[in-house]
Amino acid sequence: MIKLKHAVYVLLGTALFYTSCSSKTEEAVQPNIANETITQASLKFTNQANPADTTSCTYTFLLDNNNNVTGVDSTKLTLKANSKYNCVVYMLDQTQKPVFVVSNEIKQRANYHLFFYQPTPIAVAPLISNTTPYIPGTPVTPNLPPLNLSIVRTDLDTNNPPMQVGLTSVFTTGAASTGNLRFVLRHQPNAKNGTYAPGSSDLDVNFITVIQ
Amino acid sequence: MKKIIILSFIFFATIAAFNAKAQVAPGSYWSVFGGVSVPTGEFAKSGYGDFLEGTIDNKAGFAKTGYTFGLDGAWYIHKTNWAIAATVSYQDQGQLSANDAHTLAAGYQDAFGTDLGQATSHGRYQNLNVLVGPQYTFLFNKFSVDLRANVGIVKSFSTPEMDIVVTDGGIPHPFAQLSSTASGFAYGGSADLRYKLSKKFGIVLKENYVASPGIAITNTDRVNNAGRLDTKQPISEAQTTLGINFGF
Repeated sequence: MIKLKHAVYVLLGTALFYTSCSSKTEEAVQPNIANETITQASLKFTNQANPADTTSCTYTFLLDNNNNVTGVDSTKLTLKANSKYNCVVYMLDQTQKPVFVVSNEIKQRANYHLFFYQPTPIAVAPLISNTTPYIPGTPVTPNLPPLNLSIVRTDLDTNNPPMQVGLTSVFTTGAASTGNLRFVLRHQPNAKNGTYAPGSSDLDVNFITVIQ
Repeated sequence: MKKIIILSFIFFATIAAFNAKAQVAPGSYWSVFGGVSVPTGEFAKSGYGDFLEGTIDNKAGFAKTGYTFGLDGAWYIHKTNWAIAATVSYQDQGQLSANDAHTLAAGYQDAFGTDLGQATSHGRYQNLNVLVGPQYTFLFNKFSVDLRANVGIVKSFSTPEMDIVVTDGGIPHPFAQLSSTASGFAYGGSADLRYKLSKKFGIVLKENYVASPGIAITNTDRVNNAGRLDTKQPISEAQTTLGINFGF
């Protein structure tokens, strides 16, 4: 029995020795994957009151043969006054063959992507929360007639709790007005919390907007 | 290979049983042992999977072949071949390699779609198994074959810590999988071959399998549900040991 006791002490002592031993550190860095390449972004609208009433706007980065941006082309967004539109985002990477539909991948990566929609001009500062698509810091210009447009995101990601994404949304128009729609895709890896601040922008473009 | 060894033991044990009619009941013993411990299943896997294909392996343990040593004993029920047996063993299953760190860095970078992925790991898999169970012994001259089923606990002293930083647009987003000292349920079985060198002294070759559904793993700063997230690390080990046993 004494022998057994000694053996137990030796065993536990050895275990503690090995437990306290420090281990070496392994480190690796994996660089060089750029953010999503987006060469064309479109917003496609369907009037809720009349599904046959559709419209869209498209922002295109013009590329040379080496895929360098040589210019941009943006089409105007025209919406009917006092209407509700379902909006769907459609984005392409035309540098790939066949053309790659980036918006499909954004859907798969929705847990750390968030779209923002900011009409301008605005007469009062918009409500900023983790469920509104408006961009904090947007200048307020009470002396200019505002663009009468409000937006609500309608899709959710699979975070816990789920957060909005913005690949689909509802645009509600008011009285006839003109202005701009700023459209931003934020990439917020392990930082998405519903707000604009974390992360960086994969896309930040403007559409001239007419409500008539 | 493990199955072949176990089946060989069972075959040998069956033969021994047919030849054991005139044997006396075995005597209680304890032993010290040491040997090799090989991770199996998820514990041994070292892949990341693919985020877009939905095949991320959250449970891959990156464990390595290591060593084990410990104490073992069996106390026979009066004049039978049945015993209550117990094992206390310490295991070291290694740490992440540089390749493993690269796998994690690339995996998290892809999963979060970032410019840069960085993985740093330190710490080893070190744990203690405490197992008890019934044992049946077949006697064959100087040889004995013991078959045992075990249940008990695995107590972790440490698991590898994994510190990840995904950087996008120059902004770092760090998070970590911490080292665990949790305990978990464990079960398994063993087969061993003992050879009696003298009345109270012998040697023993043992094949042991231990598995645990998992020990709790804590992660810090995980904000979004993307990329590998291990919250319960399964542990399974196949061990081949050699020991000396003492009768009492």
